[in-house]
Amino acid sequence: MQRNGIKMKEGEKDLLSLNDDRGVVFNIQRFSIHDGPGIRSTVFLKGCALNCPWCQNPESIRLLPEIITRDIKCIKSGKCADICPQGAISLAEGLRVIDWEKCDYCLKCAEVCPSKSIEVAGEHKSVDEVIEEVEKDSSYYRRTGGGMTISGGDPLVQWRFTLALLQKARQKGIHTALDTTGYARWEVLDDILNYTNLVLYDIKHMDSAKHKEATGVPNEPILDNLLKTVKKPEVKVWIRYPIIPGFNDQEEELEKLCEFVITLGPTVEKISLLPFHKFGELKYTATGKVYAYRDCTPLSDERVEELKGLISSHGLHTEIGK
Amino acid sequence: MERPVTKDPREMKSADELLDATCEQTDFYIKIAALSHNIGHQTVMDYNADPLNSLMLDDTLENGNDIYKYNKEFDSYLNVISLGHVNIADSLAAIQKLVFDEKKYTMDELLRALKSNWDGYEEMRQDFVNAPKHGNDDDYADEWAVKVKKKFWETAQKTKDAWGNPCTFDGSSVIAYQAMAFGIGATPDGRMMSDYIADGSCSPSAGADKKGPTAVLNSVGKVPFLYTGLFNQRFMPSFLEGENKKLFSEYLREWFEKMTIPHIQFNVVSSETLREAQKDPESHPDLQVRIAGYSAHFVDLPKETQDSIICRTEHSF
Repeated sequence: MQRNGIKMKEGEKDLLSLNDDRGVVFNIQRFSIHDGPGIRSTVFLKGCALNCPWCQNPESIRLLPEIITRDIKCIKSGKCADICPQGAISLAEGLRVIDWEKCDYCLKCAEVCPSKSIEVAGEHKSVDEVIEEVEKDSSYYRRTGGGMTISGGDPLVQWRFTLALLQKARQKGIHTALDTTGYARWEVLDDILNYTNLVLYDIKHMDSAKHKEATGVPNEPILDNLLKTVKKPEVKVWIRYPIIPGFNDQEEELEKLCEFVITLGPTVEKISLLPFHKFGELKYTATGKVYAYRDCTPLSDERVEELKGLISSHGLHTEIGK
Repeated sequence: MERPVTKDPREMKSADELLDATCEQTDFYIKIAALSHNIGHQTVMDYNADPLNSLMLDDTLENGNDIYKYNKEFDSYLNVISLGHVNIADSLAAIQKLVFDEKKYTMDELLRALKSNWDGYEEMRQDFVNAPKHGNDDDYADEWAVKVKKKFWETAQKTKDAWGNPCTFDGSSVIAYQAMAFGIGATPDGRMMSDYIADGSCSPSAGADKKGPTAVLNSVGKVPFLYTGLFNQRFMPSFLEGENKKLFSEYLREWFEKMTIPHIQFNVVSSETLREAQKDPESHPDLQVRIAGYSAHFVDLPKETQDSIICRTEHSF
């Protein structure tokens, strides 16, 4: 299967749950204030079982490290073209041009690039390395009720690593949040939730066929897992609903969402609406992927407010997130 | 007085040696400044008594002292404005890593590259640009910032004013980071000739800090407060809206309760607004910005100053 121009190497799927000691991390974003309460550090893990064409982090979908380019930083050294074993890089007026079809992610070009115009997205890091970086802002977490959020990709892909990170953070008294699609075997999520204070749980569509058409997977496992998640009184849940024009922004879809969420009970604290935006567009070009939503127009602020009003009218707490 | 001859950098074994030599040279200039200062002060004391201002002080009447006569209650009058200490720290960190630890370049190559303003050495410059930089909560670079501050302070202390009081540095260099930069050649932190040096006197170099405001605050907080310094930060306006206000106030508390940095100056304005104001000054007559030690109307500033404020890292999220 090839979607968004994302290729999987043979045998890569077997690596999907690497091991519990080292994971592939593509960013640790400190001073993150949109992924849970307070000032947080968000750990972004690579790998996602879903493949949503509107994804704002296209470099997060593939599990293993890949290259990400910034043309503006290119100083035309030509070193990448010289070293590429696949002959995937050529020079046009000194600027490198990458034939992404030929790229096999050996990452050699990023190693020799003198100006970080080609960089690697995704780095193998140990639990201790990640926690050491996260702990640097502990003082801010304590003051603001913040902590660590694990995001992705979907942290349930590298679930052993995710579990180990959460356990370590819990041991250190750091508040933990999990930003997830919810797509995993229940046993996996169940275990992880024992070390999670808050789940940011994505719902993308209430209709399974439509969900599968867009994301590549059906929604039953996701909704079933959510029904089980809300039975854990100690785990708070924020539902996240990305509003994608033409896909799930119709009023009847939001009605269906509300009907479902109302049955979930008190651990669900709010619904965050995440309006579609195109800030991730450049990253598609930068990682050699096709952006299917290039011509899609984001919803107007007024329309988003209207949809927010619709959810509020069901007595549900809702906000517009980022 | 003769300028000291310090060791040829090509014979040095570590960046520490380079820092020592820099301090030795600085010491020479501080002594010249002290000489001129002491003569000036003596002249003022002898010929320019200031009874009106002297009345404003507590013990001038009791002791029969003019305001310009040294009062031991006060700090030294002898202050040397510090500038570019952050660039020195970043430079030393880069030299230690690339020249002495990894031995990727020789000192001779570096000297040639700097002399040519990095012209023909762009690949090499990228390595120096990408070396560890102060402002990322990374001990490698931050320890150099600490070392530079301590060494320079010790250097200043060696010189005494006419009353035997040691000299100190004063980091309230305000806009000098820009004006003086035009006369400073290329530096080993990857900076080109005449480019701005780090603003204020303890802010990280513009764009060098890549891990957000908490990392910057932690980094700057590691450096002891031995002499004054200006620390500038720029935030997106959304950080002071709604619920975020609480986070901002806690951010300030962390600074206030735990850090020794005497002040932070904030600009809460987006790059977009600043660029718009640059293009269309008439529609933004009231846009105020904090420069360093003082505020001004953005549209009244010269283009270079406007640009340098836009260059400062904008903390967004």
